[in-house]
Amino acid sequence: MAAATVVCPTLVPAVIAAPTAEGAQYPPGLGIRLLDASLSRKKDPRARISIDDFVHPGDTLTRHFLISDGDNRPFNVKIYARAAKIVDGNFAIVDKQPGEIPQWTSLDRSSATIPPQSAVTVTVKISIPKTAPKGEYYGALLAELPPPPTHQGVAVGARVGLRVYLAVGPGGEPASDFTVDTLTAARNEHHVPVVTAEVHNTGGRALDMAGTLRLDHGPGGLSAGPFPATLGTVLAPGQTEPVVVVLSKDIPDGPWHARIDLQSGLLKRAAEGEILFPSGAGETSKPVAAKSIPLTKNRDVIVPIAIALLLFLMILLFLIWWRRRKRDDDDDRPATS
Amino acid sequence: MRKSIALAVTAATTAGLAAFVPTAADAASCTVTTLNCGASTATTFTITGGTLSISVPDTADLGTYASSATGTTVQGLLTDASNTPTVVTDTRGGLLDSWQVAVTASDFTTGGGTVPETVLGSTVTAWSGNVTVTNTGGTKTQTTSTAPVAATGALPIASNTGYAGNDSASYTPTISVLVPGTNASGTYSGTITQTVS
Repeated sequence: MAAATVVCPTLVPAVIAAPTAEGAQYPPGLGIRLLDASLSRKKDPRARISIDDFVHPGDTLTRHFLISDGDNRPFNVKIYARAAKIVDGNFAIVDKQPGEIPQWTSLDRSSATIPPQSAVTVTVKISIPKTAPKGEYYGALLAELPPPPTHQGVAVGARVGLRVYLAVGPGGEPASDFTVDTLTAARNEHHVPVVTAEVHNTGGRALDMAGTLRLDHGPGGLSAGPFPATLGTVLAPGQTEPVVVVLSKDIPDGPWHARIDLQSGLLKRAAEGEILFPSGAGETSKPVAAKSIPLTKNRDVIVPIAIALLLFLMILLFLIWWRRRKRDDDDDRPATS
Repeated sequence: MRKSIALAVTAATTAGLAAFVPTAADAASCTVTTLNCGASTATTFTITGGTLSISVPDTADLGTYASSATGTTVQGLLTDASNTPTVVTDTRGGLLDSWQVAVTASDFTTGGGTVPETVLGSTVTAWSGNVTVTNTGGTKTQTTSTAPVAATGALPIASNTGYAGNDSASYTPTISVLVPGTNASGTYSGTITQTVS
């Protein structure tokens, strides 16, 4: 009830985003940013920087983005859409092959002249055909700043891109999920310990991985971390890719109990394993199977469950107390009559 | 009399539980939106934060090389006479925001652009070398790529891996290409484009 009254009135003004404050400073060069996203994804970090949505065949998605010029000369930019694919953990923009996203996308302008230290707003409409097969579609909206045309030799161009992750299908959005299959301890050529987690995307949406690794029960009871996992590993549904955590050089070989906490958007998973770093630089230990840590050990799940249980217990206690009171009353009655 | 008090208390407790559910699962509020306002993707919110930007030197000179029958490796830094680096600035503000830079090359041609006067863009490679990343935590140097990466856009040459939040990264990539021995001598012109996403 509360949700409906809050949500609907924002529908009209929400798409008209105020792009630039007067005299705003843009970082040097060509910039891009998304101006709006689906309200249902407000808490999802990926949806704040990419067009990330689930849509039904026949739907049309309208979004706005901004292209900025942070230099002291005007920019003549080309604006277009390209397909993309997820290969080897990377989001790769495909320039030379057609794809669904460019076919479905229409932009309100294909070029723009941006004055120095200012920006333009572009409206993008992505119309999903009624016949679109169920699946994940990737692409990018690009602004290109070509180099000055008169030059002989190597000219350097710049492009900025806004990623598009679209899931298309009937019914509800496919669930996202992943497992951590193995943990591998290694030392790189500089003797720095590195842990690699094999992550398997078992859900129906692409994942952007982030997370941390902690070590404990080490030599002499040592513990270490958290160490940040390398950001930006992207996995399409069904893919398995390594997520790398680089540790500090002074970490002894172990053995250690390692716990890795990984997340993509709002989805979180944890896994643990016993690892031992090799002593030599450039060496890799045998991968160990990672044991999934049940979700109930995660705070985000256990706290709401605990609150719910507590409330339930309170009601139960109250009912028992009330029934006893009632029985006492009933017991009293025959005695008085 | 006692009975009515009990009902009031249990009703309040269940209301408390019900109010708790939508905040725990945002999906519940989406369903309401869909029913009342059409498709949920039509209801949007405004994103605050800055841009993801890239600044590159306009031109670069990879140098002059003597041609050789076995082919000539042309290799140099992608920077202009004043050593302008490539700078990526991420002010989007998300803690988990990552970015990557991929390189694409056009064909390089000289003269009339016939086959012996063309170096295919797909044979060009690039790597980032040291990337100096500055964020609120200070400045660190990392290396994304030291080995040649094909300039086809498939693999990144630089990324902000491991540096959360707003950051600024500066580097001067190296460009390398093998000009076949059968190619004509001349000044070859083409475009190297760096794409950040």
